Amino acid sequence: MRDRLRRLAALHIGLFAVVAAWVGYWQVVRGPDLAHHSENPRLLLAEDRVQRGRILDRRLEVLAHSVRRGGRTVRVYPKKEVFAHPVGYRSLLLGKAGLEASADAELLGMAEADSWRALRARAGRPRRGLDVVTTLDARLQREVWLALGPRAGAVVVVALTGGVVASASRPGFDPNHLEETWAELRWSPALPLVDRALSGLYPPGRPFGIVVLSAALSRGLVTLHSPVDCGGSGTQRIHLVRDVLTGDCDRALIQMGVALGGRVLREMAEALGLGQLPATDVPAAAGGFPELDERDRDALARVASGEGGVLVSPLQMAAVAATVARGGERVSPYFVTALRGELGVVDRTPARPAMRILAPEVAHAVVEAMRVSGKGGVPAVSGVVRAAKESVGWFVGLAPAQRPRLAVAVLVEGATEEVANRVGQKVVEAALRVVR
Amino acid sequence: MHPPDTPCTKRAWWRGAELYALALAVGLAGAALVHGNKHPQDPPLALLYVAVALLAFPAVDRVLQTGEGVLLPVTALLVAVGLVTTYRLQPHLVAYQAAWVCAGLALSVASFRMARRPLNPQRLATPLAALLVTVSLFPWGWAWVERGLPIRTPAEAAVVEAASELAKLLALVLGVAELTRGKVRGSVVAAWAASATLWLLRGDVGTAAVMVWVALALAYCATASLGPVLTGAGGFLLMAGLAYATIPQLTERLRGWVNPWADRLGAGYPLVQSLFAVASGGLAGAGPGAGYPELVPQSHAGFVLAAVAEEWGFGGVTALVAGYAVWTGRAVRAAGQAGAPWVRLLAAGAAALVASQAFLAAAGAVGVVPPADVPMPFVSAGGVSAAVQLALVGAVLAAPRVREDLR
Repeated sequence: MRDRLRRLAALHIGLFAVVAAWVGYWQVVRGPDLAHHSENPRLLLAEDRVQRGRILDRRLEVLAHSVRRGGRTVRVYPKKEVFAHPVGYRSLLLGKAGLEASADAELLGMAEADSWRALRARAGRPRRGLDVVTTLDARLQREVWLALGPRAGAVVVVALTGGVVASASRPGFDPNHLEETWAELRWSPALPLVDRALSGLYPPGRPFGIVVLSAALSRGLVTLHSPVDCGGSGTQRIHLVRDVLTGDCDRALIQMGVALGGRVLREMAEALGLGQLPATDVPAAAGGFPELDERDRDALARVASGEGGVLVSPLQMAAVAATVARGGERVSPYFVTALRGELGVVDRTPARPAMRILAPEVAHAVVEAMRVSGKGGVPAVSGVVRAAKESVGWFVGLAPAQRPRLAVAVLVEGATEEVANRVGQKVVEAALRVVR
Repeated sequence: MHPPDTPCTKRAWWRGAELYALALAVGLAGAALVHGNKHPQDPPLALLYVAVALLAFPAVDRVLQTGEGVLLPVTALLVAVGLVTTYRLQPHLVAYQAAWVCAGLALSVASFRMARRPLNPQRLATPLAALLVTVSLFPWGWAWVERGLPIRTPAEAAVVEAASELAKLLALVLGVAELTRGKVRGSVVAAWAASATLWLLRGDVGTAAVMVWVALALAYCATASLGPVLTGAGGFLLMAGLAYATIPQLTERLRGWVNPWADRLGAGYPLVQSLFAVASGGLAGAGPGAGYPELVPQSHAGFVLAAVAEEWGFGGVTALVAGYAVWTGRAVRAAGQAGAPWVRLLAAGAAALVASQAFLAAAGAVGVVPPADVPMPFVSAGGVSAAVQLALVGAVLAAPRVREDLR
């Protein structure tokens, strides 16, 4: 009987071992996949239990925070429509957008990897997500917002780091009342939900000359003092290369572009970040660069004048200008600098591997070419192009005039070059006043 | 040859004190964490219930002077996990659960005393067989009575649960009574098979499987021949297969087990949710009260392993399963020390009854076997189940103290 009993015990203990091994397989081996499986309802539910972190500007001014109202948590955006696009929104009905979407895991504190978190920081109070500190500047953003017309977008980037200090798009929307106004916003012809600064795509027009000129100077095709033919008559006819970006001399840019060829133009554009998804921490549009047949001179000419299928966002143009201002090292714009939790601050500034696109002399020469010769003012290129059914005005500039450290790109829909230039100058003044 | 009896020394009552302390610590710390995480606004009465239920174990140990330093403390540990999980998932039931545990401990004292009394179990076999069939018919009768009532009573589930527990217990005692003689009457086997079939027809594969499992374990221990055991197991599998093929509710459940991911919102839903819970627990678990085990259907009953896995992690589940393994090993060891064959069978059968339910519940929750709605012994929030299991612990504890062969 003893043997039989022993076998009986061994059978049951063996069965328990099978169960333990099986649980181990599902919990440890398959655990990570299943725990983050899109159909695992825990991910959505976890949000209700977490006090979502705040979104702060670079001076720690609050751009978004959560408050308890009538037994439920409400997300409040104190800056209303001014920050609607970069900060985005979070709604149970409508989902998430902007930084609320891209920094979701951090705001929920999911980035922290400790499972017995319950033990710590537990005295009946809810778990807190991390505060996300951004590069944005609430004061500058407000001034840029006020300077923009009814339909426009603007981006201000710190050239040395790539930090985006302002990113505004009009018309905006009030994220505090999104659900009530959604239907109206959705069908409004002015497209208030589109972030013109990051996702709006337009032909760049003359500011694309920065790319053409960079390529031409890099290839040794011209120097700043080479003469160019600008068309027209008499003394107006002949200019120097240094005036092609600021003077009325698109013809010379087209000639340079055609001489360089489609492949070179594409390489330079891509190196400067055009036609590619910007490596930012907020979703932004990639834009486009057309496939070019080297023999099709007309298509090449259209591309060289910043049309013919080239599409860029103000963010990308600001990055191009910043790269030039930084002496030819590529600048990748970013929004999140740090995460602040109960346990301290984590630096999130992206690593900036030095990636040289242009030789320093070339970059300096391009900055020189952006200055209006014989006049003061900041280095800037403005222009106007036809996009869809109307004209759009561009302003791409650097500030201050000496040793520029800020790059500005402004786009105004349905405007002339003068209007865009005026708005751009206002943005530059505001940026110089606020960002020291 | 009789095994040496454990002397009843003065120190014996505190044997296993460390394990009792561990059980109390696990119960109180778990309940406190659940309280902090889940019900901070309520008064922490659950801690009181947990403490009372767990302190009753060493008290019973002292009264019985068992001298067995592991079995009862490990039971207390399992009960502690059960109380915490009940508080987590069905907070209103924790007081009842604690009361049932205390009642079960009182029953265990009674069964301990009864098992030591010289009894002639053979005379009991016929009435027990009749009782078993009656109990198995009871849910059917209750449903028939209910159909005549103008209102639906909420008691049906409780009645069926109690009947199921009683049927499993009776199957054990009947098996012991009949097999002690070494030979089996056809009428008793027929009554037993009929009641198992009745449960199978209700779609309650779990109860039928446990009845068969216990009977086969008893038959093997009593007769040492594998033939009848294998025949019985084969017969049961055939019957269960027929039931799965013909009863729509079971067919659905089988479909959800074979490939739960194919129909994850329908038949596979419980198992998929259970696996999500298990996976979300990871190695260390979310912490008591900090997971979402309420998303798993029946997580307080049949799928309780998923709840433990999510909140206590792989470490917790391994400890729980190891607890059952230790419990089974000690119970069978106690059975081996019994002098009287019928007590030996009783203890071995009780061990098989608890272990088989633990296995079927745990394996069902993670899909090793089709989910069978078997309560997890000592852990699931089921009052009658806890009381019956604890009564069995008393019988097992009595085994080494029965020295004379009563025949």
